[in-house]
Amino acid sequence: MPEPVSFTLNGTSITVETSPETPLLWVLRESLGLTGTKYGCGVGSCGACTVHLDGAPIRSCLYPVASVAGKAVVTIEGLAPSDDLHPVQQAWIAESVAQCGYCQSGQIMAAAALLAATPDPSDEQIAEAMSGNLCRCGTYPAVRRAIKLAAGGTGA
Amino acid sequence: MTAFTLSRRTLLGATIAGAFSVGIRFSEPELIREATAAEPVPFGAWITVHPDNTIEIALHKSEMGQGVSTALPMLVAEELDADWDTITVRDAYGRPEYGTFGMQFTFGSMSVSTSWLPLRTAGAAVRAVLLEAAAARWEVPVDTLRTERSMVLHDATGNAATYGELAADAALLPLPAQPALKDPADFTLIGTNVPRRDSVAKSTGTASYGIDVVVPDMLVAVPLRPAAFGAVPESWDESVALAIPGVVAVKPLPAPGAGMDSGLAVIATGFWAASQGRDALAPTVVWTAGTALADDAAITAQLEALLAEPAPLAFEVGNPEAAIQRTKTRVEATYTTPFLAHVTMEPMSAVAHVRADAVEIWTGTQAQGFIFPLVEQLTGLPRTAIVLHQQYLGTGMGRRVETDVVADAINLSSMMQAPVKVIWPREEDLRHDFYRPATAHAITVGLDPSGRPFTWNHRLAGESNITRYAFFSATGPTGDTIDPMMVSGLTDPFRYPVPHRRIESAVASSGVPVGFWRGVGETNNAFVVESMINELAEAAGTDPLQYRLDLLADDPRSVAVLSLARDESGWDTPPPAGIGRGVAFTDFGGSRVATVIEATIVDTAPRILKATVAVDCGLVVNPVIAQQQISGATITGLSAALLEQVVIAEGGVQQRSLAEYPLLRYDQAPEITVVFVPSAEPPTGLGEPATVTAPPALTAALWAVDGLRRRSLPLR
Repeated sequence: MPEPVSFTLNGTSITVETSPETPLLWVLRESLGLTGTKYGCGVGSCGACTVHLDGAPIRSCLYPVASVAGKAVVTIEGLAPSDDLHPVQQAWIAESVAQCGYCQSGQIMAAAALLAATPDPSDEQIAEAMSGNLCRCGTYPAVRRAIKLAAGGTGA
Repeated sequence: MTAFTLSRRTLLGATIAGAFSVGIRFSEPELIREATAAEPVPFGAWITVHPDNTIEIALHKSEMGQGVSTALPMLVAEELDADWDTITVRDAYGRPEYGTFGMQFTFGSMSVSTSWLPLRTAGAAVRAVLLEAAAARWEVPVDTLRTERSMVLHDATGNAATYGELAADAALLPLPAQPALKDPADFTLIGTNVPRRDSVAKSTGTASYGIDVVVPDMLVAVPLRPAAFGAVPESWDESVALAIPGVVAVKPLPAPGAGMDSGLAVIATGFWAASQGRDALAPTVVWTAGTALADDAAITAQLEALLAEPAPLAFEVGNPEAAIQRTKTRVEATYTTPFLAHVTMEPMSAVAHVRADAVEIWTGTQAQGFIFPLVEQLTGLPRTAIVLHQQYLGTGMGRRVETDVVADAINLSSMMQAPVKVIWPREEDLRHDFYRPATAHAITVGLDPSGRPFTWNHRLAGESNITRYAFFSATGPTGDTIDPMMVSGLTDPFRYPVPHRRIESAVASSGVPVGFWRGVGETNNAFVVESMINELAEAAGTDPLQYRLDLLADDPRSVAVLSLARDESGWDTPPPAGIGRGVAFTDFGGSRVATVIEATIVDTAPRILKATVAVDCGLVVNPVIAQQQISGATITGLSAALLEQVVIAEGGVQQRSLAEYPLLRYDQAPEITVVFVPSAEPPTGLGEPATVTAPPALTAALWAVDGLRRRSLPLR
């Protein structure tokens, strides 16, 4: 049965009325029209559906919407704090990371969460944070360059 | 029903982000008003000049990450001297000019090479008539005019006019068929790192893929097809699916084409309800028996049986049967490769709205030209009643050459009399793909006294695409029907000079559907040939890179690529102990690629450390995009070599999720260096070649570590 579920989405309090076990991914995509978060596997293997839950990167395909009640969800649409793009998005564009682009929202959300927690990550920390996000086009080396650029490094 | 509250800020954020993706800038409000006062002026198939001086360029190829939505407009804009910052790009179809070999499609790594002259010519022709129009208007000689950023300028008088202001006059003039093209030395766009037009949209979540499309009153359907290929549903209990809130209907789903599987579809108000309905329905379905071979053991046995008998002759030169008897040193080997799935990141998806007199389709497709006949056949409506809204492709890989999901959407929209979005759950995508064929190869190569290959006798067996695509078939030298793609890279042109060569190819019939996977036949054949070349180098006692240089000495471009790979990879400096280096080479449609891989073995597991890829693809239109293609293709090839294998069990694909079909991940990917040989030759393809060199370079690197030849993929 549909129930109201309230949470904060991209800085704004919202209430959705939906069956509480619906994964957050499909509430975002189909109920709220935020299609930047992608469906790739439905089992948490690919990372295309990565969003932030209270700042932490999560697989939105695995979270029943009821489980985010009262929490703060940020999607790719709300990542930028202002009209300027988020530094990770700017680095992504500067390094021409995206190819087909389908996984990139998830990649960017994973990278942004990493840099929020670890502003100057080591190669090992980047690998640990990014290895849950699959990319069929093989953009991984560019992902590494962009994260280092966003972290203030040279991207080398 | 779902109710929701959406903040103004969220909507505003999406709108602002969306504006970035359009890429149009109106700097003057006046220009917008003018735009509404006059009509856009089309010039042929490719260019429309708008009164506000934006130049609209037709894109006849699919953007699947390979950068055509940037690289192809660059060709037009270069010769037109269009202002890159104000061009717009429109997906286009329906004119013969958009076809390649008579059909509009995007595969085979030929978008830039086949567009190189037509698109530049189109830009130059329109520039020529704009110049003529300005010359007439100002009564000055045309050769006193110049063009810059979508304007014609007459420096002596200071006269200036935008293309938009001249377009109506210019449209009255005939377009020259063979306008002068620029000297490459004068290029200002081609050869530069023009930023990808899709970068902002793809970094802000605003790029629209087929799965993202929303049409008013749309339903969402998911298919349920059999676990075993060829099985059809006999009975089922739809009430369990209809009991799920949001589920609207359960329908029999026809086979989308010959040799493809029928099944059932659950139609609902959204994906989650449809997916839950599918899960409830699945255990109630009674399926007939499947029609494919039972498992990998049976498939392997069939391939081995085919290899044991003479097979249809695909190619022969010299007298290989006699020549092999004259060689003292022979290398014999058997190689096998597995079925591979495409695993496009975006699962198969399409939206269709079939009405009595018109059809609209929203999807990302590599096969625009195949969709129209399909829809005509399914709906009985004429071509003129069909509208295709091309979307970004969430990976192509060859999977979106197929139109099966479009057929599903058309069929279900017709049944439901409503717009329907079809989304294949990942399980369906994995289990009802058109797989890269599994193959087996038996090869005997005899060397001449100097260690060069003298005779190459090669028999292979595997599934063929011509079972479904008969028009691709060819006839062998003794009249047999041959699949040219199955033997591509083995017949002619062959990369290495071998005086006596015989290629036999046997078509297997496992019942597993096959298709086109990034690199197609060469994904199998380059692995086998390049691995054999490495084995021959060992038999000849020669360094494998030097062995190739010696064999390819007559082709300076191949020599240059191998030499560049040698220098950039530090080939002549031995790697540290425990690290191996391997090389492989291809000439793929004219693009020469040499890949050097450094790898090691940790415990028993291969670990890829570094890749160096040297490329001659002619003139590089956009270096950043070219680098992306080579780097990405290398990772695709390494993923296949190391990890990927479709497992057949009980007549179908065993894997149901990405957890069971591993792909290369970030922490398994090497550093990659890509270098290009400077060239002014016409461009050749970049999408596929580096996919096929990575696997044999990797196995050669591992051989250098432990001395074991790896003749069967994947390595895990």
